[in-house]
Amino acid sequence: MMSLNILAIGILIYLTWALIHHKRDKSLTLAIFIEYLLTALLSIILLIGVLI
Amino acid sequence: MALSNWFLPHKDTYKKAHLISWEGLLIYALLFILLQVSFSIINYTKPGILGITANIDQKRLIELTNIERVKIGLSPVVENEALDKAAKHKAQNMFEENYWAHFAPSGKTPWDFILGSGYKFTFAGENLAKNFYSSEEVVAAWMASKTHKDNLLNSNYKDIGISVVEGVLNGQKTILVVQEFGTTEILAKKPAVEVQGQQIEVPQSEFKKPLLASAAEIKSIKSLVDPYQISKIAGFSVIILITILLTLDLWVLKRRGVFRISSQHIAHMALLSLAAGSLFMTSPGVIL
Repeated sequence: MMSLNILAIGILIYLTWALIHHKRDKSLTLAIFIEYLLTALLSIILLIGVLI
Repeated sequence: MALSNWFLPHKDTYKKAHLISWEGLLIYALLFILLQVSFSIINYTKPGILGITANIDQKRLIELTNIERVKIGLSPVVENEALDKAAKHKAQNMFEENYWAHFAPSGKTPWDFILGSGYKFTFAGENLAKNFYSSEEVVAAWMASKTHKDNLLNSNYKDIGISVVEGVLNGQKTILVVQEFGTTEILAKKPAVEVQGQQIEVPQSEFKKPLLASAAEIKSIKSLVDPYQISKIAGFSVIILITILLTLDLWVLKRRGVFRISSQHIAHMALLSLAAGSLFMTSPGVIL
C-alpha cells in the first residue's frame, strides 16, 4: 500500500504541475490535459492490477 | 496508414506516434483492465488455475521470528504442537468458509482454534499472511506493521505455532500463513487474545468447549499461471514501450528542428518511472 500512496502523491504533483505549466505557457488545451490524465490513469491502473 | 506513424511522429504534420497518442494510452488502460477482468472470470470458472507458487517454510518462519525477538532482548518462543494444530485448523477453516479475517463468517474466533487444540492460554495472539513468495517476506511484512510487530515482539509469549497451508481462496490458489502465539503462565490479568493491536478478553465459559477433531489434509495444488507476475510483466512492458517511443519522439523532433505545442515528455517519463519503481516494490502479499 505504501507504493500506491507514493504513486498517488506523484500523480497529484504531476497533474498540478501540468496545469500550472501549460496555463502559464498558454498551451493548455483539452487534448493535452486528457493526455496527462490518461498517463496518470494508466500508471495507477498498472499498479492496482498487482495489488488487488 | 504508414507503419512508421505508429512509432514515429508524422513526417509532415509532426503529429505524435499513434502508440503514444491519447487514444493509444486509453487502449493500454482498457487492455490492462480487460486482463484483470479475465483473471476474475478464470478465478470464477476455473478455481485454482491462477495463483502463486511460493517457498515458505514453517521452521524458517519460527527462526526468523526468534531472530527478531532476540534482537531486542526477548526470550525466543518455543514451537508448541497444540499451537501448530490451532494454526492449521485456522488456515483450513479460512479455505473451507472462504474468508480472510481473524473472525470467521460462521462466528468462529481465534481462541476457538487455540482452545480447541488443547492449548489453555492465559494470553495469546494471532498474525495472518497470504500470497507471499518467501518466509523472509512474510516476517518483514509483519515487522513493518506496528500492530503485527507488537504482537510478534510481545514479552508475554512463550510458545509459538505456525502453519503454511495451500488452498483455493476466492477462486485463486492461495498460500495462507497463520502464526499463533501463547503462554500458559499465570498472568495478573484475565485471559485475553491479541488480534490486530486489540486485546480481547476471553470469558471462562469459552475454556469449557470440546476439543476440535484432527484437521483434514488439504491436497497441494499446482497453479498454472501467476496473475501477479503477468500483471507486472505487462505493466513493465507498457511503461518501457511508452518511454522508448517518447524518447524517439523527442529525438526525431529535435533532429527535424520542429517545435510542437504538446504535453511535456519529460514529465510523462518521470511519472512512468515512478510507476515502474512502485510496480517493482509491490508484492501481492497481504497481512492481517
